[in-house]
Amino acid sequence: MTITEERSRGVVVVAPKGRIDSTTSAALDAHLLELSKAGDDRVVVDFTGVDYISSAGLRVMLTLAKRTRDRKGALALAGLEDAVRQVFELAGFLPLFAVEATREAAVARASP
Amino acid sequence: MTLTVPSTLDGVREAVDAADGWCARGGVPDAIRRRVLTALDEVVSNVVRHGHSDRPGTIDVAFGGDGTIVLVGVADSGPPFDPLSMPPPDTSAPLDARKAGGLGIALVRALADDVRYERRDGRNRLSMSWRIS
Repeated sequence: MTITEERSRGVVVVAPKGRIDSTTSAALDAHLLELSKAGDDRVVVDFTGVDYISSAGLRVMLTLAKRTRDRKGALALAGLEDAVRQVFELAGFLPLFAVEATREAAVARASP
Repeated sequence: MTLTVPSTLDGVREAVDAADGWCARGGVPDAIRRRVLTALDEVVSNVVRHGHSDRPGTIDVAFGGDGTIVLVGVADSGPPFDPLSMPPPDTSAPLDARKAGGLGIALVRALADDVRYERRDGRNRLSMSWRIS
């Protein structure tokens, strides 16, 4: 997994690429925690380049959702398709997140 | 194809890499490939967490199929543990009550067309299958 990042309208967009699973999720978790420590609590995670997400990745997203809420930030997800959306759905995670079809719409949702 | 990996996170990565390569060589449809890799990550990492607490062990992984079905087997010689006996997690609780624990096996049940566990010859054996339509 690799992670790219960009900023737009007061929101940091994090785009992991590859697998988010038990061997890669710690790196994503650490990356997201660093953003929070730097005061970046308006976050979009764009899953467009993600091959699949396992429960280890869901755990990271759960932690992120609680943290952004506790810090009065904002979180939106984009690019959930096929395998990734199916895992979010099976886990009952879709109602826990603001999910938008595109990165632009997710940025608008998380923007101050 | 069979391989033996160490019961560590590196071993999980090795098993998933091998599954990815095996699926690509066999022309397994992408939607099924992703389910196979996700389920394998769950099952093998589960063995790493629960299987060998005080000594390093190994995990055997086998892939098979004939173009209409994908078969994946995972075996370890850790203490008897049937992951399918775990209660399903609450997938409708509000955010604060959510726990990620137990989600992995629930995903395996949902993502595979069939999952079976047996304890045989002193080993845990989990078998998963996917039909290719």
